[in-house]
Amino acid sequence: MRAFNGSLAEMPLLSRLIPRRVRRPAADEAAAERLLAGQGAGPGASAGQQALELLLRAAAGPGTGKELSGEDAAVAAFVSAVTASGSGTANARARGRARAGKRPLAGRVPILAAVAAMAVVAGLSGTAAANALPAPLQRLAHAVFGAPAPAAPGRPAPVISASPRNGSTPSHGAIAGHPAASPGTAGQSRRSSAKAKATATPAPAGTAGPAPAGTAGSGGSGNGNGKGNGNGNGNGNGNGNGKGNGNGNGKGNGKGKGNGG
Amino acid sequence: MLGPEFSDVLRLAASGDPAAFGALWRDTHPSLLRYLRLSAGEAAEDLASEVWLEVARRIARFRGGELEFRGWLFTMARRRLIDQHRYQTRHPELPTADTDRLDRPAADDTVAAALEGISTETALAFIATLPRDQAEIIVLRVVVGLDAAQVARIVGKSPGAVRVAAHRGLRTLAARLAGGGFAAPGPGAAAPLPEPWQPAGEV
Repeated sequence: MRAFNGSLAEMPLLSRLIPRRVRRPAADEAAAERLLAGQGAGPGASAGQQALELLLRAAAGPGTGKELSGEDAAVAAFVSAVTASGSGTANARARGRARAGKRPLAGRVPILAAVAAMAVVAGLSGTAAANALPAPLQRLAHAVFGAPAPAAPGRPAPVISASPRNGSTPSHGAIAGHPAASPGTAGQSRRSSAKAKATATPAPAGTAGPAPAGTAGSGGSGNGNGKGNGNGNGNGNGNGNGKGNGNGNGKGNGKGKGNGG
Repeated sequence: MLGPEFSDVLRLAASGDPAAFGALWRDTHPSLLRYLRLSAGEAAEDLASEVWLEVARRIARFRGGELEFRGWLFTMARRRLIDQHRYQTRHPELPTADTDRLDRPAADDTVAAALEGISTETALAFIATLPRDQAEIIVLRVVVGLDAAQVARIVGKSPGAVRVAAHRGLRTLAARLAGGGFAAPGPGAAAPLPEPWQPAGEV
């Protein structure tokens, strides 16, 4: 058995446990970094390090004639590339702007936004015309563009007539229990094709019959139930309960038949 | 290295000055060619031409100093190598003749130039016997002149891993030199390519 001479490397088990960084002298790493940086092995370098320095210096030597023989072709290719694509700095900026303009959605965003906004407005208008918006929104729509007003609390929900007559555009104007917006007005049909504006005229007291079409009595406040069939001929049946009708007796029940037009 | 005049040369080249581009080319092309030869052999010239064409197209948008320029250039070169490796994997070619002899310098070259070529090519061929990642890192550090951090960005490793690989490569080279394993190839011989090049990490 060989005697242990005190070197760590002589201890097989210990040498496996000790990290290699400890076993490797730091001077070697410093010399390696100098060689890699092209600073030479330094004074006192071993013969192996000096040979390595020569090898690396040869590898990093100046360009040979063979390596530099293609300069003319490379410069010609550069000139043609500059000519073909305009490789100057200003041209590069211009190309950048042009490339930005060629992005797939660039320039179409305003159009898309306008189309989306129109779709939203159309949808909301249709919903408002169908009296299907929540009450606050429906009131707003009613105030802004005359959509049907929402049903008052405690009143029956609006019933939408779904039976267009005479092949005309269906009208939403047949709203039962719809309070008239103006005194005496009984029922409105907002469709352009069925713009039946039924105006209830209070009949004289005690009479209950169809009132002649015409303007409601002044001073009358009426609840009008208008049925607009929307058939385009402007027929509307209005039931108007008016107070303070034209003859001033204060109460009158009238059935108005409104002719819209 | 161009040193302090690099910024002026780069500005002129970016504005389309052929002389400035020529100065950049003369300064960088030899190391680019040596780096590409390490892995691509005789295809290095074609790959280098493609890299310089890309430089010509994009140099107006480059911003940075000389080391950053080299890092940018060799990043493009490495991508070309990876593309070429992928292409060769899909389209393997079996050479039927030794075309290396045809690419030798002409016999009437000056003796000095031939000796210069021998020494450089021999050294690079000896480095090319290392494992690919070690050889690539040593060439980028020694031949191109980049530091460990820049090499790490190019090869997609950490600076510590780059240092470890470089030191291992140098130790291997030193051991082979000391053990007489240095067999100088003849002039014009391509660097040995013992195994297909596998990129250590794509960037």
